[in-house]
Amino acid sequence: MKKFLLFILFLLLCNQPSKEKKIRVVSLSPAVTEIIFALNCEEYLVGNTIYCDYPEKAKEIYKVGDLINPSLEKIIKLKPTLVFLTYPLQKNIDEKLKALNIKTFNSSPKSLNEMFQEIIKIGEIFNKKERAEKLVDSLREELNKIKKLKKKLKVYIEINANPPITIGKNSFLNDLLEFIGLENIFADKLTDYPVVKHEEIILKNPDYIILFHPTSKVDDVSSRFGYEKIEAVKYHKIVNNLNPDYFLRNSPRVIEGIKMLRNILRDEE
Amino acid sequence: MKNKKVKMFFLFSFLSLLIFLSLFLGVDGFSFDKTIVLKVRLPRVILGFLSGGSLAYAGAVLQGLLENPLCDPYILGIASGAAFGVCLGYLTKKLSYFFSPLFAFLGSFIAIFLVYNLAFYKGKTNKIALILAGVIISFLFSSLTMLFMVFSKRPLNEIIYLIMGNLAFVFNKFTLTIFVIMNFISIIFLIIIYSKAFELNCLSLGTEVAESLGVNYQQSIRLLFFLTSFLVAIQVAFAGAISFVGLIIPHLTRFIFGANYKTVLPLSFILGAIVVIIADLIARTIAPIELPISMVTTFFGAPFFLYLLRRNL
Repeated sequence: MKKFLLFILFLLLCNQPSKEKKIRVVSLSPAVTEIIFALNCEEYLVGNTIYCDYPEKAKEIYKVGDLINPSLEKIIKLKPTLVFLTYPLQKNIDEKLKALNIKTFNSSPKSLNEMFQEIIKIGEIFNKKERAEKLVDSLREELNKIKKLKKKLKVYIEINANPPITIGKNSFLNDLLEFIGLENIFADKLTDYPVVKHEEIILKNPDYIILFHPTSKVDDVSSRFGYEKIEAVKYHKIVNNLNPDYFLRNSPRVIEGIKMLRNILRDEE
Repeated sequence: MKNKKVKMFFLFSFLSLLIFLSLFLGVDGFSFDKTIVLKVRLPRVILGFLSGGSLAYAGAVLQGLLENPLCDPYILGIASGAAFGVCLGYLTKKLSYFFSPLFAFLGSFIAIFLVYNLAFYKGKTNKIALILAGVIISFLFSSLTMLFMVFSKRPLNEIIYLIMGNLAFVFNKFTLTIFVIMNFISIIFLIIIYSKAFELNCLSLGTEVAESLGVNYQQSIRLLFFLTSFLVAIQVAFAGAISFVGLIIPHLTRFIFGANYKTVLPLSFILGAIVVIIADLIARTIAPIELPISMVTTFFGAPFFLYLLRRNL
């Protein structure tokens, strides 16, 4: 009898690995890692990068390297069925992986809508389309609750201080700003992260300055020569307490980011 | 002699015209906004003037001192040291970026100290020891900087732009004070080096010739090494490693005005300043995005220099 039960148990265990289990993915994009966790599909995630630090559990996953130069050997060793990456940063890696007959998935959404579509596509890959649609619906609902600004406010986003680097028209963040009703003063720049001149910033005279470089104090910006003319400096509207990860990664976390930003702008119409 | 005076007059009037242009020319044509002209462009022009001038000056000194036409101001490891210094600054996470010139200077200082100890072993040195020590320290610091770049999770634009040269430095009261103090020192250094022009003339003819003419070689090489190193370190701290100027301008000056260090030194300074100011003007007006200044100096400088070389050969 005991033997028979053990035999049954053995058979059950043998039948356990279903088709789904065979999916093994590597994510070379911190944003995709976050989406995978948001979809509760982390069991399929076998490798990610040292920059994949959200949620906490993403840190425990096997690291294949950084974003620009991950170890191909480590990726091959993991035998992934699919590797997620972003363009244009990882175009080279994409070509190398394709040459090694490893399938890749390029996820580089440029707007909120594209990000939602991307989440559904990623859900389809894990055969979890319904779950993805549910997530997108709830995210859209959250978004619709956020009140947009009535009056357009000009905003300058600073990603790096010396030299000043901001965001251009085609970046994901630009779309977020437009959603709230903020106007990026460098929306005329076509590159994603253009280097700009201090005189341009002074001339464009933003109402708000948002700093996305860690360690910077408000004073580091307001004490710059010539900046005293800017509205944002005059009325102390410099924001430096936002975590850039909430805004620069195209993952569900941006909804939280938008809420935080809207909360800072709560006194505005 | 008269010809030389005409050339010099031309040079100075060109420089003043250029400064005027740089002050009022922006990305969308001429603009006269008081704040921008005085607080953004004027510091930039001054920075360009001092760094371009000092780099060419230092290049001229080192080429003569080390009897090597390929010497540039960074051959002694100063620029790599500065980049490493900025990395050190990143490690102390809390400091604002206004401290980075100080860290760059600290890095350069470490590099100078190490080169000195390597090259002046047991109190004596020769040119080859100095060049080799400089090159080795330069590689060492570059590798450390690369190590840092690979492991750091922060965007390292500042270091990249420091290596490429960048005049977009914006001042506040704190940095302006440091800038003024440091440049006051560098002007004193420029004057001391100028007073050594005779020694440099002798040294550029070879060590034996110089010693037979009564030049204390060991003493001169030590003094000039220190003065030029600090001169370059001060400039790199604010403007980054602007390439090409320190290598080519001294040669250009010698082509036009002859090889006497009494004229080569000041005119290298003026020509270096002119070239960097032009390059900066191009870098910030020609494209909608600011170009790296080293790219401009090299891209426009190299063909021009080749043309001169052809004509003089």
